[in-house]
Amino acid sequence: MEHLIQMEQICMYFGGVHAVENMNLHLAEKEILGIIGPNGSGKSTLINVLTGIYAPTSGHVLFGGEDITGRQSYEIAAKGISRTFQNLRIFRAMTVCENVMTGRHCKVRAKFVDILLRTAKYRSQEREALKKADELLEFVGLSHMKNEFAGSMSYGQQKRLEVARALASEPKVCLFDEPAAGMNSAEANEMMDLIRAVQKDRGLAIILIEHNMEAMMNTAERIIVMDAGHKAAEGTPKEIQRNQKVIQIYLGEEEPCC
Amino acid sequence: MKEKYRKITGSQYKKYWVFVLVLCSLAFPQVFQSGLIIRIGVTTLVYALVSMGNMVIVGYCGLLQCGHGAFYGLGAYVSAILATALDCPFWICFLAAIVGSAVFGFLISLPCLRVQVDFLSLMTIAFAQIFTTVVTNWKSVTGGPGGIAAIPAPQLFGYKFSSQTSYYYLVLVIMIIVYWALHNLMQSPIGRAMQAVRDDEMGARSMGINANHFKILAFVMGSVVAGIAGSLMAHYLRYIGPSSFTLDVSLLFMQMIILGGLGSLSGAVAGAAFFTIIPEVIRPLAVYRMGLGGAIMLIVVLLRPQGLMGSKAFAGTGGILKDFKWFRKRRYNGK
Repeated sequence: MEHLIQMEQICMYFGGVHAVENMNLHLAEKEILGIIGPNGSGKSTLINVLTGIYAPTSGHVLFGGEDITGRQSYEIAAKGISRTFQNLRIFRAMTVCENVMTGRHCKVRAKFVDILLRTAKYRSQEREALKKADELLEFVGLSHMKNEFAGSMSYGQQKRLEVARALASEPKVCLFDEPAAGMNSAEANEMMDLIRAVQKDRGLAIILIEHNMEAMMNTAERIIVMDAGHKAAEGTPKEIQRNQKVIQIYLGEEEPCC
Repeated sequence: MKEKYRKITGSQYKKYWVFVLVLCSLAFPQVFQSGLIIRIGVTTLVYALVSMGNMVIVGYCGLLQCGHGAFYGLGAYVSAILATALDCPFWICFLAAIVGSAVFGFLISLPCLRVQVDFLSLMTIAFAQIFTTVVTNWKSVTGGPGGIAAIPAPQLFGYKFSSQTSYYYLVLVIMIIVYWALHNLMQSPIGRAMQAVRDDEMGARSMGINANHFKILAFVMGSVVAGIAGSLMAHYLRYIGPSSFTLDVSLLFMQMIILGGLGSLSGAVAGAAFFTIIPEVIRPLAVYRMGLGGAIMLIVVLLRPQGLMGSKAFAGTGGILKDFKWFRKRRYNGK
């Protein structure tokens, strides 16, 4: 069966540290795949390999049947894999609207001369980008802050802005790296509603990394559990909740009594 | 009160301010007939050009380079050598300065892609020093420490720009064209991509921005604008020497854009005007002017931490005025 994203036998070593070892992962169209695991289990590294921030030590990444292993991250972004970051990486000194318009960078077709001479092609493209930015800010509920500096917004708003920016390039897949980290449960639920809306309304496939178990179990359709760079378990949320190995990873083993 | 203040400085009135400023600069040489004052005007405009170039590299792309004097000097030397040794007409010298500084900027940018903030500034200081050393010692081409004298006044379409006033207008027109072009570019996807690289390089790469591409572009654009300014300055002063392009000058350009406000083109112009006009205004104070100049600069930085025209995003904690407001508010509430 043809998958949208297929990662085969991915190994990522940093010197002697084996961050990810022999990971296999596949993602179907319009699917929400959750990745959970304790801190340092290699979740973010896996995402960074997928988006080209790291080139894997070995293994292959296929996107729509095309081998994208070791490509630069801007090439991968242009192919339609978009992401948000665990620690915010918004453009602080730019306005909210500019942030979202920058997210659309890989759709820009106007050349240097077009911009210098303000040709019709460039102006229509800018109008389109502005319209798209307005629409996305409405979608994430930030349209009232359109002209604020991104750095002056609250943490939760900046997280939402990252979602809007990631969607601006009209990607096929969106990766959310701990979108609800540092939020209270009400805010986390709002964020998960937003992510479900991204999948439902826009038909995107989503990979979600999250520590908030409640949010994860309600959102993901399939979950991969990682531990120490390996895949420990895979299945639907219900299966994962009953999996002995997962319980052992999170809660520890019951010591034989003494 | 606050509303009233907003009304005249608000962005909706920006086009009127631009109109007033252009009108003032057009009337300037007619009002002040003195050669010295027009000379300050021309210097301000040329330095405004140089600072705009530096602003693209440092203020918009976030590459902390400290060797802008070398780009400026390269434009000046290319133009001067072609004009004196080969008797080329002005427009050829001018275009050659543009092409020469573009190539120079491109070559300098390549090693600079490999290093980050602090090492980048060290590296560009090194390049600026190499440039000064080369022009001081390559006597057969650059005239060595004596420099190049007797550079002819520019001639365009049969008109010779030999008077102070006519040269002022030539530089003004070129500055306005460059400002307009850079303003368009910085508002466009190119400018946004550069600012994204400045604010968060990894974030920018993940948005599909080829960061290296835009760093090179920033260097080339910045050095082209500096080259234009260098060419204009060489033909204006009729003489150039290595002492005009030392590290001190590079650092002066750095001060101009920081005081003017990083990330704003009008800030580059304001900073250039500040550092050209203030020293002339306080010149009668003789030896005390150094101290007073420093004090004025300190006050400006305290009052406007984001620079004269800089955006609030660079204001840090908000400067001394914010502390003052807080102090007043506390006293008021305490009563």
